[in-house]
Parts: sequence; structure tokens; C-alpha cells
Amino acid sequence: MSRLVDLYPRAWRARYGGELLALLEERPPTLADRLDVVRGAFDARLHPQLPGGDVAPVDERSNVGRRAGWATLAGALVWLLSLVVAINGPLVRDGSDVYRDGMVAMPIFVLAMILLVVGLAATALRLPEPARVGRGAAWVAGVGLILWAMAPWVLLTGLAGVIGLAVLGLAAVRAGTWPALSLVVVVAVPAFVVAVAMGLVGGVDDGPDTWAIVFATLASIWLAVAWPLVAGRSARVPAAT
Amino acid sequence: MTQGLTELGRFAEPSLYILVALSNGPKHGYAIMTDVEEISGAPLGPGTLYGALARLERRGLIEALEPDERRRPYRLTALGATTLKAQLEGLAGFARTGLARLEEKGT
Repeated sequence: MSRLVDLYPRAWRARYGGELLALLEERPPTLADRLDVVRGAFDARLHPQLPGGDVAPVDERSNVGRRAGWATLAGALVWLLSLVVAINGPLVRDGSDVYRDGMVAMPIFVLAMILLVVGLAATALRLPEPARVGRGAAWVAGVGLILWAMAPWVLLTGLAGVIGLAVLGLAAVRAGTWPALSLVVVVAVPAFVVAVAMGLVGGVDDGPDTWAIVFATLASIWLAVAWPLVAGRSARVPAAT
Repeated sequence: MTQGLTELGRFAEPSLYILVALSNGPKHGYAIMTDVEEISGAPLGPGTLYGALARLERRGLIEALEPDERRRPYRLTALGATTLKAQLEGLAGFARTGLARLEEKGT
């Protein structure tokens, strides 16, 4: 029984652990009760609600957020690395078309996207309750971007990812966990890339390496997601009822 | 239904039941749980119970009393009683409106 209670953060256990354990001993838990305790432990880690201030749990939460932020920052470097690898791939001639075979960069590309999704998950978890739209958008963004990373030619998944990212960003700005600049970046930079793809931006050479340079601007999305996490921006605390 | 507690998300409804359970005197976790199950007719999980208790205590709607061995009783604060009254009056008004409309339709 105590193993279930051990799932809760230390500060939470210090305050409520003994009571919860006594309750579980008094009324042996069903499977549903056990699942409810596991869910409660996750909730206590994500949304510490200790009376008399939440100093210890908030620190714990901030550290997790900061680690996620650093992982996301590393993702920006991994993204740039994937482009460097792709740009050094063999040139392929297909009729009049000439392009780089960037398949060797694909695992690095996917890894970069996974690190971005780590940042998105941490951003979603820091949204104050209830945050159904923001968290739903994070799911859409995460699934969309990972699928796009595995098959970049399926543009619909990338589009879903970018829309999810923008909605999550809007929720984060409203909650105060993101600066407005982060939202501007996650909306404007993909829009710029799409504009280039549609030929709306003049003066862009159509050479085989041009795409790598245009895609490099997307690294700013990793920075926009990572920075608020690394800086430890917190949500505005709602007034007491 | 539970305006004022809505910021508690999925804990809003269990919190309202807990406030009702404490409205006739202090209770510890197990007693709250059984009382809520009796009131609502649905089981209340231990994780949800303590998630809601922590939120209510943090917001000053309930307070913890001295523990009796490992059982710690909780009681409603003045703010908790005011909040509960407002919630129940809101629900009563809602019920009155709904019933009146049903009667209008029936006549």
C-alpha cells in the first residue's frame, strides 16, 4: 500500500501521506481506487497544491520544467545538425530536378522533433487548470510534428502540428507562462517557410541547398518554446475563491 | 453548477460534495469518503479525495484539525461555509428555473 503513496512527491507525502495510507488500510482499495491514487500522484506532481505555500513542490516542478527547457534548447542544435547532415547528402539527379538525398539525416530530424515535443509537453503541463484547449492543442502539435518528422512529404501532419503549436502558444501567453514574442515566433516563422514554399517570397534561389537554409530559421521555434521553461516563467496565480 | 469552484477543474464537483459532507461537522478522510458516496451515489477515489482536500485547504475553504492517531479531521471554515452556501443557492435557483420551465411546458 505504501508503494502507492510513494508515488506522490515528498512534500505532499509529508503533509498527507500518513492520512492517505491510513485511509487505504482502513478501506482496502479496489483496482479503480489504486488507479485513482496513481492519477492523484501524477496530479500532485504536476499541480502541487500544498497549504501554506507551495515552495518545495513548485521548486520541484520548476526543475522539471527547466530540464525540459534545456532538452528543447538542445533540440534546436539537433535540428541544425540534421540540416548540416542533409546538406552533405549525395546530389540526386531526377530528370531536370536536382536535390539532396537527406535520408541519412532522418533519425536526427526525428530526434530534434521529439525534443521539441518534450518542450511542448512541459509547456502544456504548466498551464493552470482547467486547460483543456491548451493541452488538447499540445497533443495535436506533438502527434502532428512527430508524424511529420517521420514523413515530411505528408504536409497535412506538419500543418496540424503548427496549428496545435499556435493554439498552445496562445493558451500559454494567456496564462502568462509564455512571452508574446514566443507566440509571434511559432506563428511567423512557419508562415515564412510556407510563404517561401509557395513562391511568395522573392529572391530565393531554387538550388538543392536552399531548403536547408530556409528550414534553419525553424530552429527559432525550439528557442521560443525552450526559453520560457529555462527562465522558469510561472502561470499567474488565480485569486482565492 | 459549481461556479467559484470551476478553477478546480476535475476536482470542482468532488470538492462541492466534500464541502457538503463537512457542513454538519468535522470529518476525517474515510468518513468524508463514505458520506460523499452516500450523498452522490457514486464512489469517490482516495486520490481524488486527497487532491480535492489539498485544493480546498490551500484556498482556505476547509482547515485541518489535530490528528487523532493517523486520522486527521477537517472542518469547514467561514469562507468555506459562505462559498458552499453560494454554490447551493445557485443550484437551487437553477433547479427552480428548470422546474418552472417544465411546468410552463406542461400547462
